Amino acid sequence: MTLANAISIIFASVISENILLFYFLGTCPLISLSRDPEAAFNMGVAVTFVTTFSAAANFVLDRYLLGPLGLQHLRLLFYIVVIAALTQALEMFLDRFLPAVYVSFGIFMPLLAVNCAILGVSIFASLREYSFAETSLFAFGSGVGWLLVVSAMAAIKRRIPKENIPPSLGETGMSMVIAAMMAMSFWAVSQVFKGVALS
Amino acid sequence: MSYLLSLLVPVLFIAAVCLFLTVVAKICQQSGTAEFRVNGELKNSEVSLGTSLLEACQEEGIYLPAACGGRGNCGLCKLKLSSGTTKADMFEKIHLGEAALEEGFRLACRSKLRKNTDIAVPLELLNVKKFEAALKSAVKLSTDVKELQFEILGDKMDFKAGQYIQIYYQSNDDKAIRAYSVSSPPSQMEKGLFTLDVKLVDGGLVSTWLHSLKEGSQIDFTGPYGEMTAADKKHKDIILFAGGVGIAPMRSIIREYLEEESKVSKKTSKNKKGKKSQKSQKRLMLYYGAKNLEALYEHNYFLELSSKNNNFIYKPVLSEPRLEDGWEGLTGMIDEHLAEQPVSVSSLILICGPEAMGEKIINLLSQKGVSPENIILDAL
Ligand code: FES
Repeated sequence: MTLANAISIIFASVISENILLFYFLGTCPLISLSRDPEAAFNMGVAVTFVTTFSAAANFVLDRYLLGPLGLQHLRLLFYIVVIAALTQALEMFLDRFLPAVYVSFGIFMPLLAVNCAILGVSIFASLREYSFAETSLFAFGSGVGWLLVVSAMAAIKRRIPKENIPPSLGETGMSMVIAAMMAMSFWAVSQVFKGVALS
Repeated sequence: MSYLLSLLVPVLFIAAVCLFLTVVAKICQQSGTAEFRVNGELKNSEVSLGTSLLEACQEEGIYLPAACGGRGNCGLCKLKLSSGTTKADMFEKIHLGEAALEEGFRLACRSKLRKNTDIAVPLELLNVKKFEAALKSAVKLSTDVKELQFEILGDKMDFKAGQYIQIYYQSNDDKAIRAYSVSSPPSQMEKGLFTLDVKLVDGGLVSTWLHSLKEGSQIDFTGPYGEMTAADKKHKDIILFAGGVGIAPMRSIIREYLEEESKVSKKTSKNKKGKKSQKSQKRLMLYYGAKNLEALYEHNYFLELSSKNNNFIYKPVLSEPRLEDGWEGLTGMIDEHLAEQPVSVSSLILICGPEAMGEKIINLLSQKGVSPENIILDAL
């Protein structure tokens, strides 16, 4: 993996092909998470953590078990089991050995077992036939991208009660509008970089 | 062959994952114990590390209010730690706020015992006991609300009208605690009886179980809890706000009020014929909000009561009246009608209903000059 390749994977996963704004995966917490930026950030850290670990574990599983046995059609089942087991194991580990870290973001771990963004990252990585390093980088970038959007959303949502928003739209509707605007701005940023790269 | 592999490999894989998790659980098992003190008194010198404070209290027979069953949603299990505080988690930050956390307040269900700990438990909570009761009868009050009458087995519970109890549910794979207000007056308890208004919640574990109980079925509960009571209060005017099933504690308060009134009027007629006592002049006003007439159970009873009793004013409000209700009364939300209503600033205000409703009413009342000490909210 060249440096340019690594930069492009990171850039794509964090900004231009953000897992949340480009693929619309992991949107439930975006809409339902409280307006507390700290909680959003902590959950983002947990997602980054689990996404990276689970994508790496799933890569190994795919390459050394499912591939040789010709069982790639069962990928989904295996990936879900790995993610669920990993979140469970990490939660137990943090609770026992790092209580301070556990109270910050370990409490989100059980919620992450059903976060589709995490499963999506593992699947994308194997479909794109990334190497181990590429998979890990892509997963880490996707986690950071998710963290970025959820934290920004929490910070913006804090202002909703103070604004005069159309009552029929409500907070959920407003969150969708904000997400759409964010998606456009992320896309715009990626276009600016594209333009700079071309010139 | 490939079919066999497709079957065998996942099964073996899942078995391996289970084994892995068992090993991790063994490794991560909390080892060691710590001292657990309540109000400075040593209760247990060997509580396993990692036990939640709520569980540790329960082991010692201290039943803290925990309406959400320890999920960190209700914030009722709040208590102060004199020593042994650990870092607060998100639930505690949301419910308690920075200032309270600084002072050492924590949620007992979210805080785990990590070192020697001393907690401060208010005296009234130390008096909370565990009881058993058996279902005596069940009456349908509306499509989804049943009035369950229980007979207490063993000691009677000493409670005030407006207080609530916590019911403990346990099945083979689930455990839950839920809070229900007692809707009968304390005088019923003298006969060993009490009633609960139980609303069937869609997918609700405990409400479904309670609705399916047969006569004679037993329940475990702890109590009494709650500050939302008019007992021992000297206020002349009492305004009750009930939203939906929040009417349950109000039923208890109103019935107790009626009993007191009839006692006083009997005494008065015996002593000084014709002269009404000062005590009977307590005035009660009930705002009762529900979705439609069907959900406004006990409406006819309250109507009749208000027509007979000058000291009881009844204001029902429907948020979504149906055509067949033929409703000509107040519509919308309770707070919308409160704005134009004059309120005596010395009134005692008791609110039981959804939190959003309670907050709106409190805001309006504080604008009208009612002091916060006179307002008690029991959010559902
Ligand atoms: S029991 Fe509800 S927050 Fe602790």
